[in-house]
Formats: sequence, structure tokens, C-alpha cells
Amino acid sequence: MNAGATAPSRRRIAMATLLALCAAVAILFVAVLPAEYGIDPLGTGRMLGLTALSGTVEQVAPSLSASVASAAPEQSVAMQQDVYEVELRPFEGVEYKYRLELAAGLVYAWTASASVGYEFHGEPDGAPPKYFDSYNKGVGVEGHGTFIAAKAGIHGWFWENKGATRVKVRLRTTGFYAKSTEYRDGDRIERRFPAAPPR
Amino acid sequence: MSGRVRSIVLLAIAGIIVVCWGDGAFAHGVSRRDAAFVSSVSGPAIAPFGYLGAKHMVTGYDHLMFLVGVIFFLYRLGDVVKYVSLFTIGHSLTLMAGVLGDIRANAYLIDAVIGLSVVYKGFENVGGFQTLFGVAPNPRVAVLVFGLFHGFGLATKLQELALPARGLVANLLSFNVGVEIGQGLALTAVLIALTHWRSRHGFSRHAFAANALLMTGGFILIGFQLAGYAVNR
Repeated sequence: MNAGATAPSRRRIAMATLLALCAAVAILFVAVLPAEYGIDPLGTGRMLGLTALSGTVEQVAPSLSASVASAAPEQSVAMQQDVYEVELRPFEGVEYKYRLELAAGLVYAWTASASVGYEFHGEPDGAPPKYFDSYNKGVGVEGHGTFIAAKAGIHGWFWENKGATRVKVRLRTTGFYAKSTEYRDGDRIERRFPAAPPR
Repeated sequence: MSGRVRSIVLLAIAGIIVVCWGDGAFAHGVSRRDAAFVSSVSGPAIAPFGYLGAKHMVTGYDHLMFLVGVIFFLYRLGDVVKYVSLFTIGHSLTLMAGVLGDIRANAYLIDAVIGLSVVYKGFENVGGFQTLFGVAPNPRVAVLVFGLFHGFGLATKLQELALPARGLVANLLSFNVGVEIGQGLALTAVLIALTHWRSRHGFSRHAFAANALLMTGGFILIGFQLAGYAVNR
């Protein structure tokens, strides 16, 4: 097999193989296992911030500044509940976002009938076109959490069906928003919520 | 010097293709074009499945690492064709059998074996079997057998898509053809890069290091997949 090359010595081959194994084990424990599974026996994942990638850490938005969090501002917008359902054709993507003021809260849970690509993100007011902050992204069948807007703007999800069959996505939220926007097939559908929700 | 620069540029282009393909699929807006295309296709979705197959191969670094190992020391085009054909026969057989026979192998364990195939190839390329053990497994049989495992790996990826029964065979064949197209594209890029590299001074010294690196990558894959198996069982 090893045509043309002078055959390396036994010692050299054994050393190289051992070195390869050691390097692999080191890389696995320092980076791969913390980032992929949140397994972090050496604490390097936490130190390098890799465990955040694993999804085992609570999925939260970038932390608010202490002043906003401790001030617990009153919301001027009424509390709302919303259910959004959509069926995605193969390779189809959709965005669904809420208008949230600064420090407005959103409790959310979404599920999908099959694995979808997702990205929870926000477009802050006054940001340049196409700019967005990504809160979390990945591939999966569900997501849930509590989100507090660190910036006023529109915040929500991009879902993409990466498979070959139709997928249903269902989102439930409770929060302080007056308006949602759906972006689908190049259309933009706005929905306004009543100022005082029915009791 | 200029040859080396050219090699680096070629490798960079290949890398960019892989990265863009892998990541671009997730970019906003791209999906709508794909959706419009797919919705215009009725019946068996030949092009999308072919595309998915090719994409899986070009962005599937585990398959690519194995192929790099396989053709690393194949200087004659005839040999490349021979070995790649064996690999193709192997993975096509189990891809078909796995999906049509609904054989559900554990994806983590299969991918760990694929990692092992990379280690095997790197070890063989540094002459490990001959020098350390005095006997080497037949490389042709090995590439065929590991091809079977790679095919099972492809089958598990396709089964994750929850395939509809209607048009299954056509879609499966499209996926398989896509895999071969993707493999051909990737092989071409690898061969160009290897050919440049071989003409460089000190190739044999670098080759040893490259195959040790290949082993490292294989070991990482094995650990990564076994950990996944342990976590998700």
C-alpha cells in the first residue's frame, strides 16, 4: 500500500498511533463532549463557554443588565395568550415573531411533528436591515423557555422543514405583546391582539 | 512555492463549498426557493432526494475522511476506480437493504464503526499492520466491508426523514445516485489536492503526519458517537 515511501519504523508507528489516540481523547474531553452533550468532567466546557452549545444548559436569551432585571418594570401592554400552528412543506421555512417592548416577558413552548431546523432570534428597533440577534438555534422537535426582551423589537422563531415530508409546528405563548407577524412565502401577515383580552 | 499556494487555494475552495453547503441550507430566505421548487414536483421527488444524497456525501466529513484515507496512496487512476467501486457497491447494498427491509441500525453505533474505518485506514496507510503485526487485512475486502457499514449509516440518515411509502424506491434510488454524484465531486477535489501534494518535496514525511491526523480524527469520531450512544440510549 505504502508505495514510494520509506517504511517508518515500528517505534515511529506505535508512537504516532498512541499520540493520535491521546490527542483524540484530549480533544474529546476538552471540547467535543462539553459542546455536544454537556459532559464536562474537566470543567473546560464551562471555562470556554462550550457547554452553552450543548443545549443542556437552560436556553435563555443574552442576560439582561442587572438594572433592568432588578427594576422589574411594569408592563404597559396587556398580557396575551397565543397559539400558532403551521404546516411546512418539504424545505419550506416560516417565521413567526412578536413585538416586545424592553424587558417584556414571553413564556413559550413549541413542538413539531418531526425534526425541524429552528432559530429563535430578534430584530431590535433601529437595527440595520437583515441584522438580527440569535438567541438559540439548532435542529429538534421542541423548544420551550422564558424570554425577556433585552431590546425592544420583534422577537420570534424561524422554522425550516429540512425533511422530505410535511411537518406541523405548534407554538404556544403567554406574554406581553400586542402584535405578531408571520412571514411566509414572501408574504407578511400581521395579527393584532385586543388591548384587554376577554376574561 | 506557487504550487503549494495553489494547493492551499484549491483546498480552501473545497472547504468553502462544504461550509457554504452545510450552513447555507439554514440561511434565511434560501428555503423559500427550495420550497417553491419542491412544491412544483409531484410524485416521486427525484431531484430533492438526489440533492439530499449528494449534500450528505459532500458535507459528510466521516465518509470524506475514509475516502481520503482509501485513495491516499493510490497513484493509478485504475486503482482509484477499483477501490471506489468496491466502496460504492458496499454502501449501496446496505443503503438499499436497510431502507427497503426497514432494518433500523443504531445510528450512533454505526457512525462509531465509520469512525473506526477512518482509524483503520490511517493505521494501514502508515504501514501499521505490516510493521507492527506482520499481517495486514486485505485492503479490498476491508474497503468493501467498511462500505457496508457506511451504507447502513446512510440508511439511518434517510430513515430519519420518515419516508413516505409512495415512491419509496424511486426516492431511494435518487438518494443513492445523489450520494454517488456527491462522492464523485468530493473525490475529484481530493484527487486534485492530493496530486498537487504528491509532487511536493517531503510528501512522504507529510503523508505520515497526515495519516496520523486521520487516525486522530477517526478516534474523535468513535468517542463522539459512543458518547452519543451512552447519552441517548
